Amino acid sequence: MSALAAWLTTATPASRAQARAGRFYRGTLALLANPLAAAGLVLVAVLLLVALFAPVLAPYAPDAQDLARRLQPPSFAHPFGTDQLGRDILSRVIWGSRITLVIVALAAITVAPIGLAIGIVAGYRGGWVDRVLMRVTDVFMAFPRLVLALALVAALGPGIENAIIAIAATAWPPFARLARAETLTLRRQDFIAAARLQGASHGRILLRHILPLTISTVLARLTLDLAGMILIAAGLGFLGLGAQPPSPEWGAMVATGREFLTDQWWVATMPGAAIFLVSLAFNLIGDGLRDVLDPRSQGR
Amino acid sequence: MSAAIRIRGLTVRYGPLKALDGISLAAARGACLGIVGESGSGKSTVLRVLTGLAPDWQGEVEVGGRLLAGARRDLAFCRDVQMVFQDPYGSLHPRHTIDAILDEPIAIHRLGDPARLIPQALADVGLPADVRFRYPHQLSGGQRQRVAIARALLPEPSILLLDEPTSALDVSVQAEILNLLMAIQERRGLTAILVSHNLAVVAHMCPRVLVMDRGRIVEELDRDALDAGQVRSPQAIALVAASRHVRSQASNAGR
Amino acid sequence: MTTPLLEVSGLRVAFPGQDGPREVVRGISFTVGREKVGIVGESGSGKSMTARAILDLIPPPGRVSADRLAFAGEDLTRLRPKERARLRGRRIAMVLQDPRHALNPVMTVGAQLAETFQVHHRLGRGEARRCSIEALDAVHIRDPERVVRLYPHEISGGMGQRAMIAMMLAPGPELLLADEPTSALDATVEAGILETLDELVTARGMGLVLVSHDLDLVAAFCDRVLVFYAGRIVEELPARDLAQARHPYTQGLLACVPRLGERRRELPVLRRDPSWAAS
Repeated sequence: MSALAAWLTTATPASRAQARAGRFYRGTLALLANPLAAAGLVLVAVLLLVALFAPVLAPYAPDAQDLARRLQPPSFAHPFGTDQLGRDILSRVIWGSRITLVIVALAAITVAPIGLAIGIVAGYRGGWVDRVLMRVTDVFMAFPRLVLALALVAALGPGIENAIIAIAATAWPPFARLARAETLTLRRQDFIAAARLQGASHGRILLRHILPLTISTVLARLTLDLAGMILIAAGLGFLGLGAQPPSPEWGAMVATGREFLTDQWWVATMPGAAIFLVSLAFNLIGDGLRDVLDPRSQGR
Repeated sequence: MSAAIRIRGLTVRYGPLKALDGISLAAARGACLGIVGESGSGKSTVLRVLTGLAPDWQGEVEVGGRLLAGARRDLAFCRDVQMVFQDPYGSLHPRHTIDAILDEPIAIHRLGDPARLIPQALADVGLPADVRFRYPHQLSGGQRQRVAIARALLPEPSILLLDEPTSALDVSVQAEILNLLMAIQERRGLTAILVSHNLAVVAHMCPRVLVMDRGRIVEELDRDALDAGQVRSPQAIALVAASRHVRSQASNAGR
Repeated sequence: MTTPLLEVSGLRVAFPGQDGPREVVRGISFTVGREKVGIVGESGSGKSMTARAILDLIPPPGRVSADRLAFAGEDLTRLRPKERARLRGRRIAMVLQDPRHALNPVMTVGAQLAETFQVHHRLGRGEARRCSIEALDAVHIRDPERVVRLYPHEISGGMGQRAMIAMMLAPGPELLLADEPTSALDATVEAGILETLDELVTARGMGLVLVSHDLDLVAAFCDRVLVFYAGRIVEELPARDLAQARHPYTQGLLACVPRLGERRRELPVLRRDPSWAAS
């Protein structure tokens, strides 16, 4: 282990792979040194494991109805209780983690590239390209996100895929703004001028020189925003515009549980607590990542 | 000897301000031309026009017998004309290893096998091989400037532009970098333009020195005239006085 | 013998590093009277940190320790931070490298100067304004009535540094620390600023510590020179004896600078001996 650590932390790496692994190792150590970020990482790791092993972990099938045992309070047989159709809430929360992860993953891999691409092109090219792209961004930013997402889903029809599209379409503008601001300061740096004098094409400068420096701030912002995306997905589910019954989506579960909130509190509270915990976990990682990735905070 | 760079009537405006006011100059092939002046004299703007970093200019600029236009520079130009910047902290990408930095010109100009070229390039500028996978912030200022020089030399240019290459460095490191630059310039027969605010540095490296002030070339000096103190323009007199001021006081005090 | 203005003995500054604390100043001792003392060294020699340590301006997590650090016989290490801050500015002033970072960009030069006079001398507004114009005149700014109405971005770097000196001298300090006061300026401006500084320091009988990387400059301007290397003083000598410097580091620094009228194919390169850094 210590030999591996020495190999990773050496000041004189002997290959590209070693240099890269060393940087990753140092970043991970720094992230783990922050107790809150480490807690967030642990929570997300648990979420991943739960989603992966849902068939093994869930005591019942998520849609197995048992009308004789409907609306049971938490007990040994049903730790989270049962809902109005007698389905086990724990099993539904466990299976629901898959839906949440899919939403988060798909939203993240669509939002970040869209925002980054628009932002760095606008910032790098400047002039009319910048003005057009930024005004489009402003138009999207002028709408409240949830209202815009609602309008999109209403137009496209309810369903999990359309919910993801709606989330992605409404979440990119802040990323574009962020990437543009970063690019504007980078554009004037000597190393960009040096790359141009090397003969690098605009595409090469954007991809190899500007992107690696903007991606870290965008990544940190993304983890912070993932919490918001989960909440919007849950919100759409709650309003009946996201995942459709009987799918165990957490937001939809909270929505159905609302009817029984006064007498059978667990029906809405259990999936609600899951939403809360996962949002919190992503927020904590986001804060930690921002500190680790921000070059200005390094060496302090 | 033919001129590698010839400039006629070059004017650059930044708004109402003229950064360059119709200057003309020629840099002889294989020689080092010095440009000296204070901040705002326009000395760096000349290099920015040559390299295409200053897009708006009027006049005639000829490099290697070809007339330049606007800010577009093709690959062949980039291969033939390279530049070293003032601040080695700023001119190297902070997240690229030295290996990645030196790989850029190799990949862009398809120079050959990086596994062979990069160690050779490091050795050429007197850097140990083990800096290859380090990051710029792990190197000293002098080592960083050596990396920047290695990067500029990789495409084997015939023209090297030097924009205050030593003014961000300590004097002992400045001596090392100046020695390196002079050795390389001589060995490779490069045409070089050295821009600096320090007259003594320019005079050390360049047999011919242009003095600039407010966008104009006010005097052209050769090294003999400088050594003899034969300067006419008030700007040149002030620069000579400034670089001797301290020196003469120190030696006077020593007497 | 009178007490010197500044006594520094066994000064150390350390920053925590990956393998334990790293000392950037390693046991430095010197005194400053009413004279001009130059501190010379290359980047990383600890020269700026020494100046900052005297003013208690070392950024955290840096730690300062000293056997003795006294100003006019008063032990600075025993003072509470508040008392130390009061001393700073009033009796010890500091001029920094780039005046544009030190002047407030949204206040006119005159307003900033007048504020200094109002605070330190309890003057009325009109009186303070008159003093500001006089102070700008004393640092040889032409047309001070016009300059007091200008904002920092409207004046040149040299003028900004003159204004900064005027502001720092306003409270009538006894000791002035100048950290690379002219290295952001053109060489022809540099000489004028140093002359002005010399004139004021001599006229007021102040002590001056000039921190610089430029050995020639310090030698021409100061009475005494301390040569810093790797956090220690390797040589201390009167400025006029610089040509007879004994330490190979000082000799190397002097030799490696290109000079007008000297034709050298190759500049001598400083060979660093590890024993210089050892005590």
